[in-house]
Amino acid sequence: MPDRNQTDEGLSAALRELAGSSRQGASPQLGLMLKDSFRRHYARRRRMFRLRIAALTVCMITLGLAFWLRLPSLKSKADGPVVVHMIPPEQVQPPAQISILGKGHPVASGKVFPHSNSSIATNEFVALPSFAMVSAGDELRVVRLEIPAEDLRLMGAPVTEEIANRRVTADFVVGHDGTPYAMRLVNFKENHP
Amino acid sequence: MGSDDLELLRQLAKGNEAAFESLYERYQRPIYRFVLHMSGNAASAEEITQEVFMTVIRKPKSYNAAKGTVAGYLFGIARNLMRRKMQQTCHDVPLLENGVEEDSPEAANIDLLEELSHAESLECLRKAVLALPEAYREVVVLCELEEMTYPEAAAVVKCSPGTIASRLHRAKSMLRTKLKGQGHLKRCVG
Repeated sequence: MPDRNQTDEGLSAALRELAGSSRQGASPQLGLMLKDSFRRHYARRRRMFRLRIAALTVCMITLGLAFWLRLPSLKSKADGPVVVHMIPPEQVQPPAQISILGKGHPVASGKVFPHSNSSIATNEFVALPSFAMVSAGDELRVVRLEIPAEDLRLMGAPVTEEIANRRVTADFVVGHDGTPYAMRLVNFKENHP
Repeated sequence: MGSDDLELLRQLAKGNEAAFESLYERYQRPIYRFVLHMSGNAASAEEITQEVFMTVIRKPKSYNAAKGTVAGYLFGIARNLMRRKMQQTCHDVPLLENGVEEDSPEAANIDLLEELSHAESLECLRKAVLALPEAYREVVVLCELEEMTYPEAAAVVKCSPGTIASRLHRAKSMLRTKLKGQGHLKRCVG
């Protein structure tokens, strides 16, 4: 048994000697080549990453733009597009002359806006809930819109169920940021499906 | 060393060239020697070492810390590449595969340290190692030539330390028998 152990040790020593006598590592050229490969690989990855970020940004901007452009049509639940007319200031009453009707008086189809296809107009603007926020220095202007009556109700205008499914033309008093403060009905027509 | 290696690999994955250099300097020699002693071919050793580090460059995140150490991971890549290469080139011609004689008293009496001390005799030993079946050759290379512990070698070979110990014992028996039986020792030492 001691002989066997001695042989084992001898063999191990010979193997260690063999390991020591062999070439100890790869050539220096391999190291240089791998470092170069590393640099090129990560430079390419960085380029791809930047390209992906740029593509993502472009996609986000395009989506945002598309959404923003479609926003008016999304808001309009009626078939036709919203028609905006800017009214020359001399043709409309200045906002200072707005006479406020109480919000508790809904516009009744039979009273203020009777059932008919004839054009109607009232000289009085009806204050919307946002009227309370109008500031003294705000530059007000009047725009004319053709929109579903339902949308008027969403803005807080007193609209009854009877005319909710019709398209109406209305003047809006809006602030410089587009906030509608008051409206008046110009005319409305039956909704023909 | 393990957590250090892991940090190096993380930094490497972020494109840190210094981390790659450190990892390369740390492991290129053991991996090169492992492949060299397994294949007996310096060109293969160089090629496989290159492939191992190219794999690390391309897929640094393929390392899973739960499966073992970074060293084990790198040796594992080298081992797989080498096996594939050997299958392609059919260089692996194991000797003594069928029925290895246990140590004879004569074999035990040979003083290998004394006889295998010259370059020529080392060449005989190198050939004898290369002639071992792959499973035995790799434990000799890992435990004797690379001086890994049994658990370290077990992590590379993916078996238990007990299996490593038994394979090493058997491999040494094969070597002794081979060296004596084919008269290499006498020729080597002149």
